[in-house]
Amino acid sequence: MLLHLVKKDILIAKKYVWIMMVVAIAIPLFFMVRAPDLLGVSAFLTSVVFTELMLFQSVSMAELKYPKAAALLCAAPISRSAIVLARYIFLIFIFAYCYVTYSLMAWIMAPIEHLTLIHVLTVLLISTILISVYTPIQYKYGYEKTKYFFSILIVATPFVLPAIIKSNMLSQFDGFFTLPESIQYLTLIAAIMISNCISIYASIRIYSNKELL
Amino acid sequence: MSNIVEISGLNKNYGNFELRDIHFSLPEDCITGFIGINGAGKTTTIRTMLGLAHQDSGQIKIFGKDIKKHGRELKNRIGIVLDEGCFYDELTMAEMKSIIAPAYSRWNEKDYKNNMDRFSLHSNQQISTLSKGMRMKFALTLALSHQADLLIMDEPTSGLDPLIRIEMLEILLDYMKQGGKGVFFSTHITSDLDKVADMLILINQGEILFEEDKDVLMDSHRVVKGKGHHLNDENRELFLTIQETHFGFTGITNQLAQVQASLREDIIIERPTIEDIMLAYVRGGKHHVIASS
Repeated sequence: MLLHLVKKDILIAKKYVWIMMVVAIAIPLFFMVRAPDLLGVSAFLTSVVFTELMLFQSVSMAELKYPKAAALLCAAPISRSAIVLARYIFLIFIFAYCYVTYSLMAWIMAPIEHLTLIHVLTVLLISTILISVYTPIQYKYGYEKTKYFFSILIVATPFVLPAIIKSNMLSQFDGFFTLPESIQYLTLIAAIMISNCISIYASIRIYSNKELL
Repeated sequence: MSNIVEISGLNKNYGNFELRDIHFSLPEDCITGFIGINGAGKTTTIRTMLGLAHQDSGQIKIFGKDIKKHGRELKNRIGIVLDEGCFYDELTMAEMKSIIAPAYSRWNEKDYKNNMDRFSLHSNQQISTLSKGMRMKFALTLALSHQADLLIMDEPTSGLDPLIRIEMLEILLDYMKQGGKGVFFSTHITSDLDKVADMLILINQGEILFEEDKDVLMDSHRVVKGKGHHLNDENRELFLTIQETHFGFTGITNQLAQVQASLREDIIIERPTIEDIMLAYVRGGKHHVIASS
């Protein structure tokens, strides 16, 4: 059932899915041409955050446009928690797509750096934290009230993320990267799982208490 | 005859509107019309029954089980037809079906295809291009394709032309022929219920005013017309509502024998429509004097 609900999210955003599939490829290419020194984690992170947030917004916009469709789903034997969970799975699919396309590009085009597992997990953690904060807020306040804040976030992402990476802000995590690799992996995986679990729990609680039209 | 649905002590407060102590039951093998004017609480009641709105108190039992505890199992046995706009318009009917169908354990693809053919619907047509009648037929197709034991329909005939409305009512009668089923059908177009309903429930301002067998209700109420000067304070009390003009009065009563005894001459007695009865109860005791020109 969950996969059908993921399919629902893809279908209702289908107009934008194709565009964002191209954008996810275009962002690393853009970095390659305009900012080759930021290729690698920065390009991948920008591609993931941008694609995830844009598609998330597209799905939310469609749900806002047809609020009674959600009521029809909830009147069917579909639990609200399944609907929420499917949204998170949808976002994981987007991440996987971004990773696959980026890796293919790195394989085909020499200037594009290959990603290490630690890079992939770091990007997954950052995108998970963003989505983990955003999703419950959107379930609580709806698309209309949150769209401006996250529009700013989406527009700022391509500029802010490289700037953060270039700055010394990340140097405070140097200690973490001196730990044995296995500890780094486990810590990142644990942080991703905890972040997702807390966010999913909060979103399910909020959506389950919501009155549907 | 057992009850498919039993609702007791249902309360839901929105601040500016509330459902107050709703009690009713839906018997098996009956089409029950849920009537009331716009804003009476029909949709809120249905939404609360389906768990789309959360009840403040009360109990909703469907097939003898509490909907709160057995929601998924019970919803699997319920076919839903909500009012217009309950689909994602940009999808095709096939895509919409592919989202809904996996939720039902008893989904029957053959029934779905038969219903689509019966209604001349084409799976690959985009929902946004469907007329209101076709959307309703598609909603009904989905509701009838998973062997539902209870159909809950919220204003299904609203805004439909008479031909489609009649077609839809015929489908409901066909559905009932299977036996062991039930239909709960909210509407403010009471003429539809004249044709198909077995039971009627009237809601007004969030309260149930009556729950009655349609034939009993129709037999126990009469429209009485007569000269205004025959009316006095005592016999006015025998009417649910009276409209008076300079030429006479028209009233609805459920105490015909007393009215006949009181107004012995010059009265015309007619059989009311469901709408007459509904409006009489909604106006409840209000006395209308219409100035004649």
